[in-house]
Order: sequence, then structure tokens, then C-alpha cells
Amino acid sequence: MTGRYGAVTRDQADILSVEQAIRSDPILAASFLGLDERPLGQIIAADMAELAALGITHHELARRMMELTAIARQNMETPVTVGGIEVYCQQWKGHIACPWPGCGLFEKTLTVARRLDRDADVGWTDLNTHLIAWHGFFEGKGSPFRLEPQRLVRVLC
Amino acid sequence: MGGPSREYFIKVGGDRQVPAKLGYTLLTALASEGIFLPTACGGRGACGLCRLKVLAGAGPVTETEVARLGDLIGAGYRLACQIHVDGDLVVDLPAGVLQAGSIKARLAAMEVLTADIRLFRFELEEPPSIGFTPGQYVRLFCPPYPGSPVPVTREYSIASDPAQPNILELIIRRAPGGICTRYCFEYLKIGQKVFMSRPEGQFRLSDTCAPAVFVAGGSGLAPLLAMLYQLANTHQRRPVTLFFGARTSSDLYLRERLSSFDRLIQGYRFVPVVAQVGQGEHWDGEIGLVTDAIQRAYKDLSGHEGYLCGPPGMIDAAIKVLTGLGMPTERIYYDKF
Repeated sequence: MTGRYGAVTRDQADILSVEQAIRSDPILAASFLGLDERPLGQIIAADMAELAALGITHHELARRMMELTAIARQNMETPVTVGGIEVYCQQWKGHIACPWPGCGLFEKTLTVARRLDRDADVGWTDLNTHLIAWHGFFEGKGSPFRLEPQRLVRVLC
Repeated sequence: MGGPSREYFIKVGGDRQVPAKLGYTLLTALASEGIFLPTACGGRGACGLCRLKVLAGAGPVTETEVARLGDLIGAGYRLACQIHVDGDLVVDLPAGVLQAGSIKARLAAMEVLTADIRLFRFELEEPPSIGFTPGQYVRLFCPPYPGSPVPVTREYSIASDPAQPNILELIIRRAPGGICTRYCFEYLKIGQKVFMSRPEGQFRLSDTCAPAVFVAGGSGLAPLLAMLYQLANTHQRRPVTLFFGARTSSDLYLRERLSSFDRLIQGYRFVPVVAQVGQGEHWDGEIGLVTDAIQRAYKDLSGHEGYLCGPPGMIDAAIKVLTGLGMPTERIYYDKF
């Protein structure tokens, strides 16, 4: 699909084939789509629209997440405060694969960020960051791993 | 909760066939019957290790398989993790998989180590005992439960004493949203039976007598603990220093057991390291990152070996510090999460 907001560009066949692969596997469906019955393309488009209204692109948001994860990794599991955000990460054995073919595996790293002046926090995995950066995908409603764009913006921006 | 219920059969060689539920992947269907194919990605089609020849019953080849297998598809190879059971199958298993077998064990005890880490002690039932090399891991089979309609397997390093061949201890850290860790923490009860693969993996102590630096973080202590038992059991004269790093002292577990090795291993030293000390807390160990403690302890590690297990961030930082202190990279052995 060609995103209305110019950021997510891929063809519809790609989206349909990824969605088919996700929905055919109960674990992938629960993890990536949760209870969301909307087509994958619609989920992505709705989040892109929400981000546009918030005045930020998914690339900018993902870049911020990557920066904070990199800082957190350097300090291992010890929280560090950077620009009013306390951040730390935790890691588990194993890897998670992106459902888009060819994207590869991602370490099971959870970065947790807390905006000190707003007492708001959010946590994301390396795969979350990749999905947002490359596919504009914040995951479906009801997925345990979904990131609400508004919450991310509230903590990170 | 209702999971897939309709059953088919998979012919796995000779006269043997195993049942397979509709909707399971071939990988999980085989694991459900104690047949563990190799996998490094947990069945996500990314590593290609679960390839096998499917002689009949597989559906169309997926894009993922084309990307992973290439020309092997023409020879009948498929990825077990990409095939969803919707009929009977005939497969040609890779050599050794059927013979390897699996382990049936019973959860005998569970010890809370920290807020999110527990030690699970399993007593083996079939076979009643097993040998393993400290450093190896098993793949624990997590059956369908209310948190997941289909089974999964996950790797956990063995933490137990190899001198107790009827026991396998695993140290498991709970992962948010983790299917297998949630099962272990919330659903697995004392006395319950589990299946796991035979011990696998190449992480192990070298057969030299070089002094060693062990570096552990989080649940990464597990394989190094098994190695300490090995050193104690074999009365090796091999100086070992264990650096065990955590965020706070409450995240450092099994401290008494780790300290007790100084009576069993000549030249053993235990260095607990915490990043933060609470106000008013008495702490006489090292403070800072585990890598800071290593740098403070050594000037030259050119004659040492390094054994590391823990989060990738810790491993990467530790390798940098160890090589910076002269340890040759080929003498650094690690099990990176």
C-alpha cells in the first residue's frame, strides 16, 4: 500500500500475505493482532493517521526508541536518566522473528522508559521498534505487545 | 479453553506414527510427542534448522520456506515450523532425531529466587537419569494452556549438579507476555509432569587448567553454576573468579551457595556486583556494572579464559573489557541470550 502519510510504502499483496501468515498461526495471531479483527492494512493506516494528528512520524518515534534502547543497553539493567526520561532494559534468552519475510530475528530485549515529569511509562521490545520503523505497525488492539501511539508520544516526546 | 482437537497422524519412519492435532505446526506436533527437531528461532521460520523431508501431506510451500531453503525445496525439504497440520503426513526425520528421544520429568520443587526469577527442580522419570555437560541447555515443552492454544518449546540452561543425574534444575526469569515463562510461573504445579529435549549445546568448559573468569547476569548464572559444580566434583586446581552482576542486592540470588564453592574449588573467588545500593543498606561487595568490577580486579588477563552468560548487552560489554585486558577472543566462551 502507499501510505497516505508518505511513510509506509509497500504493496497490498505484501500486506495480505503477511496478514494471512499471522492469522494462520494462533500464537502469531494472539501476539501480533490480539483481538483486532480489522485487516492489517487498516490497523496500520489508523495508527499512521493517529501519529500524523500527533505531529510525528513513525520513523521519528522509532529513532527515539532506538536511541533510548541503545543507552539502556549500555547500562545493562541499571536505570539511567536521560533528558527527563528514566530508562532501563531487560533481556531474555531467545529471539523473536518479524512476521514480514526476510526481516530476520530480534533479541528479546524489553526497554522500559518512564517520563519523570509526567509519571508515565511505556515498555517496548526490539521487535516493536523494528515493526514501527519498517512497517508502521504498532500491533493490533488487544495484543499484549501493542503500543498505543499516543502513550509512546506522551512518554518519549 | 478449547484448542485444536481433530487428530491426524504423522508417519515418522518405519512403522512408527504419532498423532498430530489440527492446526499445530509440524514442529510443535512432533515436540508434543517428544520428538524435538533443532530450532534456534522457536519456530518462527527464521533459522531454517527444523528442515526435514516431507514425503506426503504438506500443503503449499510458503514464501518463508522459499527464502530459507532455496534449492532444497526441489529435493523435498520443508520447514517443520511452517507446515500446519491439516491432514496425515509422512516425514523423513533427520538422522539421530528419533534416537535422541526426550526426557519426561516431574516438577519436584520450585524456589523463588527474586521477584521474577525462580529455580525449578525436576526429577527425571524417563529416563531415570541422564548425563549432561555443564553449559548445555534443554528445550522445555510448554503444552497448550489458557495462555496459549498451541504448544511451544523454549530453551533453558541446566543449573544443576551433574553428579545428580536424576535431577535437572532450570533457572527461569519471567518474561512479560512470555508464553512458556507464564506457564512455568502460573500453571506448572509441584508433581506435574513435563517433557523436555535431551541436553544440547556446545557451551562448556575447556579441558585446560587456565584460570577462568566467569561473568553472569540475571538468569545467566545457570550454566556457570553447573560448571562450578563440575569443577568442585572433579577437584580441579583451576582458579575461578565468578563475577555475578545485578541491579540491586535483592536481584542477586543463591549467594550463600555461590560463596560456599570457596571450600570446594581451590582458588575460587565470588564477586557479587550491584549497580545500586539502597539508602542505609549494608553492602560490602562491588558497586557499579559487572564490567567495572572486572576492570578493577585485573590488569592483565592474557593467560585467562572467559566464560560468560547473560543478556547480550552484558556479554558485548564484557567481551570488550576482557579483550581490552589482553584475553584472546578465542579463549572467551559465551552463551548469549
